[in-house]
Amino acid sequence: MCSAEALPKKLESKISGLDSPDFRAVLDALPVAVYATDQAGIITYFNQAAADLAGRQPELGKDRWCVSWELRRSDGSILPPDECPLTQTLKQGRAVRGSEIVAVRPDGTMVPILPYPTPIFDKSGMMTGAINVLVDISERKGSEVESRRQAELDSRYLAAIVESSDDAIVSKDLNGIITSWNKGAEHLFGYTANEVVGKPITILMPPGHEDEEPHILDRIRNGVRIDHYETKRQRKDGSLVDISLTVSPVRNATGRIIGASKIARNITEQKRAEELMQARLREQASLYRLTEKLHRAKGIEEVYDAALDAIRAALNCSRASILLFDQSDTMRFVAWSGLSEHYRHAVDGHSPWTSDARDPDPIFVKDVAEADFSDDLKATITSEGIAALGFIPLIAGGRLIGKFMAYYDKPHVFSETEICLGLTIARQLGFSIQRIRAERARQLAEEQLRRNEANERARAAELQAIMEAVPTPIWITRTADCRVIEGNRSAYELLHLPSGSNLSFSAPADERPSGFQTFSAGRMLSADELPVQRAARGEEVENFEEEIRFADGKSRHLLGNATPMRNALGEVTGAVAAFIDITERKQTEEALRESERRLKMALDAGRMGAWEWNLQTGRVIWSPGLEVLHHLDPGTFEETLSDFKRDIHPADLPAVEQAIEKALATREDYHVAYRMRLLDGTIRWMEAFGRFSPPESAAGERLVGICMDITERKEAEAQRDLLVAELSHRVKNTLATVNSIARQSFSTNPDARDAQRSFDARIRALAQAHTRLAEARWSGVSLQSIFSDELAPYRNEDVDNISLDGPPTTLPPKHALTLGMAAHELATNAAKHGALSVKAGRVSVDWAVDPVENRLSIRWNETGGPPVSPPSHNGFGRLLLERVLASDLGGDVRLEFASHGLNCTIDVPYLRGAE
Amino acid sequence: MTESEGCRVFVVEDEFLVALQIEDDLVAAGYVVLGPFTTLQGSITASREQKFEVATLDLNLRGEFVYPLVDELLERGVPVLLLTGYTAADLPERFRALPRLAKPFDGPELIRQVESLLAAR
Repeated sequence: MCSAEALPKKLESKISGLDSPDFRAVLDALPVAVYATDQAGIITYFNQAAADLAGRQPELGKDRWCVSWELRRSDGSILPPDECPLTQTLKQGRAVRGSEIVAVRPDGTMVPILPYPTPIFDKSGMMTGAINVLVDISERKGSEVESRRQAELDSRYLAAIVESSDDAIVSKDLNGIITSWNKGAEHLFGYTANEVVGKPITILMPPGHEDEEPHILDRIRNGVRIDHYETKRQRKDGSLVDISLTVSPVRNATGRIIGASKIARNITEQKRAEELMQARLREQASLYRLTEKLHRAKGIEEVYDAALDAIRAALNCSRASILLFDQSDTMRFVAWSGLSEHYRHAVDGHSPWTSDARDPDPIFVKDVAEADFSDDLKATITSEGIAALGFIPLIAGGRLIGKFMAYYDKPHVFSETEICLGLTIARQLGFSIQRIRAERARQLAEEQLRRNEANERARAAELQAIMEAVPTPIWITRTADCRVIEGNRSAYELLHLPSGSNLSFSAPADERPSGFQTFSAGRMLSADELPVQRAARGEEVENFEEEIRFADGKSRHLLGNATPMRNALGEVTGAVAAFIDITERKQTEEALRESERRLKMALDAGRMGAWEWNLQTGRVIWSPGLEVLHHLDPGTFEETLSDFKRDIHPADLPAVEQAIEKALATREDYHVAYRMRLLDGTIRWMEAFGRFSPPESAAGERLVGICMDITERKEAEAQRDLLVAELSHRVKNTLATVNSIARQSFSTNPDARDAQRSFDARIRALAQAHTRLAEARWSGVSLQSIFSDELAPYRNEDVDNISLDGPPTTLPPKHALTLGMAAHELATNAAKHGALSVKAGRVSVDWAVDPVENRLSIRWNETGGPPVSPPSHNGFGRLLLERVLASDLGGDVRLEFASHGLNCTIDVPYLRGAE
Repeated sequence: MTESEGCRVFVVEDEFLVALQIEDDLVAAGYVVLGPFTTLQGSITASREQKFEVATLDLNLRGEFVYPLVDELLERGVPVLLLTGYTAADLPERFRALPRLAKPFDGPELIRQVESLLAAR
């Protein structure tokens, strides 16, 4: 059929005269539906084909716009008659083509039709009406007609597509002159079709892209299509637009290339999106790198380096730093890039947040010049060349640990993306710092644990060694039932059992130890009463004393503790007991008690007391016995040195003090004897011995000793001294007497031999008196024995020539000696010259004591002897009798030389019992 | 013996045989002997009544010591010769330095002691 290009633009008015009969007949006969309307759309003519197509008989002058009963669009929707293609023709004054519609008949059948409304103008050019041809296209399928119609439809569709496309679709000829320009092009480039059709395409070329067009045209001429060539074009307003260009050659029917169609798509948004995508990718990559590095980081420095890199990449800053709170909660630089030392020092410690800030927000300073900083700070920041900065808090474990800083050389508006990235990096960094710190803590803890384990192994080995080495027996059981009890070496040695054997009496009978039994307080203990067993029941056994008695009768005394061993739950899992062997101590204690008992006995018996003087404390301790010696009630001694000195006799105190000083100075034994004067006036002699305790003694240096009452001894000594002196006195006096006797004997007797005999006899008489005195222990000699002794040699029992008569009278020594000598002289004289010189002579001695006058009277009577006469000279006998007796005894001696013999009367003072 | 001529010696000695010998020796040497006195009381009384240049004193007069007399004589400036069997240690401290003749003694020794006491008078 007709192509769009072939359709006449206008029908000449000369054919609008439908009234012409021939023309009308032709129209009536046409198999194609034709109808005509006036300019108002009122149907003025229709042919039979039109009535057939419509399925009704249109009413001339009444139906309007269309002959059909109803119209629908090709999509099935109702097409109002006043919008049908003919209506458009009338309204627009132009032919309308290509609008395929559907006519609906009154019987419901539908016919797809293609209307060809064409306006009718008169000669003046006024539109007088329109003529419409309705072509029934329902029969076109599969036919050439249909194919061509389809091609036309396609073309129209394409045109519609072109027209409605948002893409700019432009055609140009091979000279580059624009031949078509769709709405999309208008929209994209700002030029209307009228403005650019017929103009060179190069008006769209921005500076720098001028040589693109010849290149494109060359390719088109060669039939080469250009697909999606991305370039820039300039809009009418001068702005640039990113486009994607597809250029295809256009050929005519003969295949010759006559031009090109260009489809330009605005890709500015896409470009931007792509750039954003690129940025995202970069950021993602930086985050990815950060994550990777952080993950691999072995040390905190690597974490800082990775974080600084990521900060700079993600926040597009030139410099960055990381600061953390130190132990004093002061913010300190820990890592940085591109910051001077001066700057770091100047702002060190500066922080918008304190360490206890909760969830602080990041702070972004887009322009330091306008920031609310102090002048100093601002000057410092500015002098470092920083124009903008960001503070991003670092949180770890819910706590602010520091911040990182992003520094910009120019003022910087922080985008949402940067902020988000900053926070993401901060989270990563905070987490990594925490991870590194935790890792370090874990390593330290592991190291500590390793050390602890090693230490514990060493401790355990030490404990084992100690247990084996200690000389103290140890028992250990590792179960609460004490079925097995082991010991250390000392325990096995003590019990004479092989090392490793079971020491438990709670064991089965055949495993129990033998050879010993355990006693306490004299009673044998059952297995359950043993200290380990008690501890294994949870009891703390302390200071338990037991005795191990062996089969051979020996025994050992032990003192010790047993304690339960518990697991972490506090359950008893065993017990351990450690004892010390106190056998020696017990023996020592027993010996000490015995020794103390003996000492007390000795002290009591010897009237002794013990004392102790602590040189450090000055305290003096007395035994009860010493208090007794001092006539003090027990416990009343006031335990001071002055209390002790108070009892000392003032005359002896200097000697005692001197002895103490000497002992202190020399540390030699203390020994002193002194008198004490007790409160009741008693004087007692005391002797004290003291010895210093070893100075290393824990109780401090002490002088320890005894004190004994030596009064009796002193008195005995005095007595002895007196006796010795007395003896000396008497011996010497006796010798002096002997001396005198000798002189008298020899000087008064010219006959040397006679003198010698007389002297010997006198000495014997003196000796005899001494013998008697000695026999009576110098307490006195009986008067009778004095005379009996001297007269014994001359006694003749046959004639009874000697008689002694008088009361028993004891003579004191002096009397005995002097009277002894006198008796000797009398007896000797009687034997030589008197009564005893003849057989018939007799000597009678009688004596009497006058108790009133206290005088002793002795009478010596000789009878029957030769006649006597007074001696011619004073011999020794007479001297002795007359002068010595008188002088020595204060007596009175009378010698009467009667014819019948000598009478001698001796009258001396005598006090009975005076001796 | 011109020096001893007329010199009186106060003799205290309770052992008459010893006193006899002292007396003999002193008289032989030209001294005049006062005494011998045999008791403490008697000798003290006599010493106060009589004049003498020197005294020989036995210490122990039947159990009584002659010390009161010694003190009295020393007070009076009379030289004293102790005649005793006691050793120095048996004497009271104050008498230990006095001239002493231990019994038994011989005559010449006694005379020499008495002479030296008189010479030092």
